[in-house]
Amino acid sequence: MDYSDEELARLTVRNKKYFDPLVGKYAQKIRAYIARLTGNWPDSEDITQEAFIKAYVNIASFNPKLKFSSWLYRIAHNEAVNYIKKHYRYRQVEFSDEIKNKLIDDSPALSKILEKENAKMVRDSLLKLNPRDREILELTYFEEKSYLEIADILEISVNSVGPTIKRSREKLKKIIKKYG
Amino acid sequence: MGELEDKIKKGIETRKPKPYWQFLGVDITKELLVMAGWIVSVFLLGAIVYIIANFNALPPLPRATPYHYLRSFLGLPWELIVVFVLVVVGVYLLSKKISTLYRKPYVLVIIIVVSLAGGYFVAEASGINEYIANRTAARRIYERQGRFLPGRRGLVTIGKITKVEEGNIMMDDPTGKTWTVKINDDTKTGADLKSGAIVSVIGPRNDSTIEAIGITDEIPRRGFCQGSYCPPPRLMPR
Repeated sequence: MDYSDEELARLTVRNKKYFDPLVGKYAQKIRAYIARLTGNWPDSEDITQEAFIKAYVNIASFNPKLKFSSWLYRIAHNEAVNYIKKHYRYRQVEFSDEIKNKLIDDSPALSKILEKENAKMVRDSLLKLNPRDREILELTYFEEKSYLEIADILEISVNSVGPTIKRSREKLKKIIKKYG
Repeated sequence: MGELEDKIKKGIETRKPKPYWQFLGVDITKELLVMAGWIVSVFLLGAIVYIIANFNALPPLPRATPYHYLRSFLGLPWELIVVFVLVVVGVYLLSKKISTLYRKPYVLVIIIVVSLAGGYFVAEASGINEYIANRTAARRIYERQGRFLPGRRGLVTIGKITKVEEGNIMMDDPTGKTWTVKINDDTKTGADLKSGAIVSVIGPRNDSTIEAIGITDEIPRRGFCQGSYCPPPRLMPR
């Protein structure tokens, strides 16, 4: 019988085994998300592990009004932000082409867009954005999250999601023009 | 399962989820703090409006213009404004941490504004504002600011001193009427009584005399209204 993520999360409180399918489903996605946010592929593994441990330990606090994925992304997001604050390496670290391609391959929606555009230029420009602009574009285009999910992950109002995406996109365009 | 998944599983192997009651405790604490903050902010707002209404802030205003309201506001005890703003901001931020209220913060703003406005009337109706204002600690703050509690509004007269005599001062109010202000040993004076000074006189009026309970400088030297931050006084006819 198929269980929804939210049901699995509730059952995890009673039995650890129900957490396994959630790990299997989200581990790689969360790692790719963290790696794109932090700009550090090797460290993203530890951050991902830490995010899942936190999610597991705090599973009883999961709010059923949220989607499980939004709640998990919020934890991952907070872990990534903590890492960035600690290491100040957000904009300095560059991905190798191999890693960039791997990250793009994990996100079919954006890879389609990037195929049409000058892919390398867009990827490089994205890395030059500040954390706030970058995370919202990551969630919109890489993770394909809805406005409500983005609002839940970033804990902002639903109404401000659209304008923020627009502003971040404008900034990305400027960077592309500048370096293009 | 890949390497990463195994690593995560290993990480949670020895751990247990925290029990639900712990989170419930945190949530209840947050909600209680919001509630307490809300109640405090209602009474603080009540105190602010009470001071404006009763402590020779609003009554001397010759005309209800934004300029005059600004002066009244600037004359409030600055501690009150700072604490009020901090409490309201605290309530707002803490409320956003409860449930999914961050999704629609404007709803929260509306709730806070309506609650404060409604809450103020509750505070006034219950008489708590008057009660607090008459406590010793509150009176000290007011007196430090040169404020007196003469009673309800209507007992304050603003004017420019034209003559200073023994036991009396003469002053003209903005309408041009001349008042004889009687001063006795019980009169509290918070102003420099000299010819040409603009003062607020608190006390009951008879025809053209005022039995002064207190006389304060019309230029507020209290709250945020200090020195160059204070707009200059202007006497305007009613």
